[in-house]
Amino acid sequence: MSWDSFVWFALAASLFWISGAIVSVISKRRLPAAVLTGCGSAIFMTFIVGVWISLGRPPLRTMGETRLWFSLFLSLIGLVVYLRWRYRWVLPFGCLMAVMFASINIFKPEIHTEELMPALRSPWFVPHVIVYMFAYAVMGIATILALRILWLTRRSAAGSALAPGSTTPATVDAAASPLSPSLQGDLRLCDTLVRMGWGFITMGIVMGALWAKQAWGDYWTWDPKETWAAATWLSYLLYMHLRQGSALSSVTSAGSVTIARQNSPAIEVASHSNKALRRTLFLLIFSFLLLQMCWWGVNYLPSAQGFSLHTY
Amino acid sequence: MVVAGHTFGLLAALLYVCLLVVIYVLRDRWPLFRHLAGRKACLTSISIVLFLLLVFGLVPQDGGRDGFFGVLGFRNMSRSPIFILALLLLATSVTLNTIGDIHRFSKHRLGVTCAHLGLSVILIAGLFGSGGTVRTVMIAMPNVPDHQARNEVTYEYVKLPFELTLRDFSVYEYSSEVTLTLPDGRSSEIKIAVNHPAKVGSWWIYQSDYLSDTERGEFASIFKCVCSPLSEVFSIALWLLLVSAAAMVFFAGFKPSFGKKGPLSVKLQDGAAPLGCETFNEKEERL
Repeated sequence: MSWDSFVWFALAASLFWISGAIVSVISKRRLPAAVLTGCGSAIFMTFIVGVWISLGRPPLRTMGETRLWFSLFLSLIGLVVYLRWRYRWVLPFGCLMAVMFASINIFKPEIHTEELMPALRSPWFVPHVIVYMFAYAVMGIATILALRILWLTRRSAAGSALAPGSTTPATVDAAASPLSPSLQGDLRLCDTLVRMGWGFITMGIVMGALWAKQAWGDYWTWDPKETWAAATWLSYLLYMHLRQGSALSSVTSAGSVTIARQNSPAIEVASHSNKALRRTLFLLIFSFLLLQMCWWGVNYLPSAQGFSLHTY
Repeated sequence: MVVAGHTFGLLAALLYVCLLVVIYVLRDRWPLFRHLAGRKACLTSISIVLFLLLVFGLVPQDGGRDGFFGVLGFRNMSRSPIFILALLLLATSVTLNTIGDIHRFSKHRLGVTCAHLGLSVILIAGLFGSGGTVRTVMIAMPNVPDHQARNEVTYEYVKLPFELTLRDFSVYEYSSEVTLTLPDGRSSEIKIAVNHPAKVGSWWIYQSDYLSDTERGEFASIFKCVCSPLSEVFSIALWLLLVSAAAMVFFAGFKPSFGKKGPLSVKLQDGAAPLGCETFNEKEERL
């Protein structure tokens, strides 16, 4: 199987993905949408396996090749989130992004068929790149969730995104109002995805370090790509620590909430004031921009030209 | 020289860890120590290192000393005093949290404890262990025994505790057939290739590059010989971090408590203390 047949596989997969996305929106049953999306992913996976066999090496070397995996993982993660957490809108988003990246590969393939250079002939190569691609896709979905929450909390000043029946006490400003259950669910899923994605990024970094030691004798050399990878990793780590500590800090800072509702048997305290929450979510979007810099931006960065082993 | 640098680094690292244990023990008596072990110090150290990384990522790392960034040492990040101080602050924060995790060990926080421990070992070994590492480059001519290599940093010649004789080099496989001779006279035939280094004691020999003599049709091999006594420590810490990350992925995706009752909301009974994901020092601050 060669890259000449990619357009047909991409079209067939895209057709299934778009159908799955539409069905997930219009139908209450999850199975038809899951089957359609799964078929699209299976077709795309078939092409990847075929190219892997025909090239005699894993298609993970060029930008075009890594985008293949990104498209596949986006559709799969959208499917898993849809089935596991029942988020209907994540599937269309994931599928549309997968179609978009598959389309980029049709119009701007950046495909090279040359053999792998010796340094890339390592058992670490495939897991290192695949876990990174998986992390990119997971963080992509988390970013979409963050954008959705930001968009909806923007309207919360008018009260539409507040929890039903929540009467904001006079001692609490509007920004500290609890989120609606739906947005709380989005936020929980966002945190779960970031935790998962950060785990994948960590695995990618560690595998890269172990590989670098085996190939070049140094675990870490602060190559520009490594610098941006470390920045991305720390940025997501900062997000997780801010979110982790948010419950306590909001409780202590919102002591007035406790006083205002002393008669209630139990109080559901919002984990963040909306303002602080929005700042944290902006950090998540910033982290995703850093991820893009780490993935492909570094190839165009003047400071990396001539200094990076990773520019390709 | 290697042994001296290594011993000094090891002693410094041990002293540093002892100092952190003292800080942890005395954190209730000294507000500064309490803050150092607190969440704010953790967030601050991550933010400072992140900011510096963004600057280093945008400035070419050519080692130059001219210009605004050159004068401030921003063109050579691995030798930048500001960056080393920032990493030291991060190491302090992570290690204090690790000591707290170990002191108040809970199996529910095993993944976080392992991640903290792995990260603090990596940071401490990186900050204090680099003094004992020697990186040299050897150009091995065909069939000429050699035991000297040039230090990558000082450019001085270093006498290696072994002798290498290049027998053959394959351009396609990027590998060398070499005779390795030890000081006691024992010798063996070994193959050194990219991703497949040879190990002699605490020295690692890597296939780095090659030179070709097109007229004679011969090749000289360039080896990188690295002595890194703390290599195994790094390796163990990295594997620890890898396992913690894998556990994090698994539990983030499948553990019900993450999906249903995540860290978002905290239920408070009247007058009851908040429960959840607070760190040991936050808990103490609250109490």
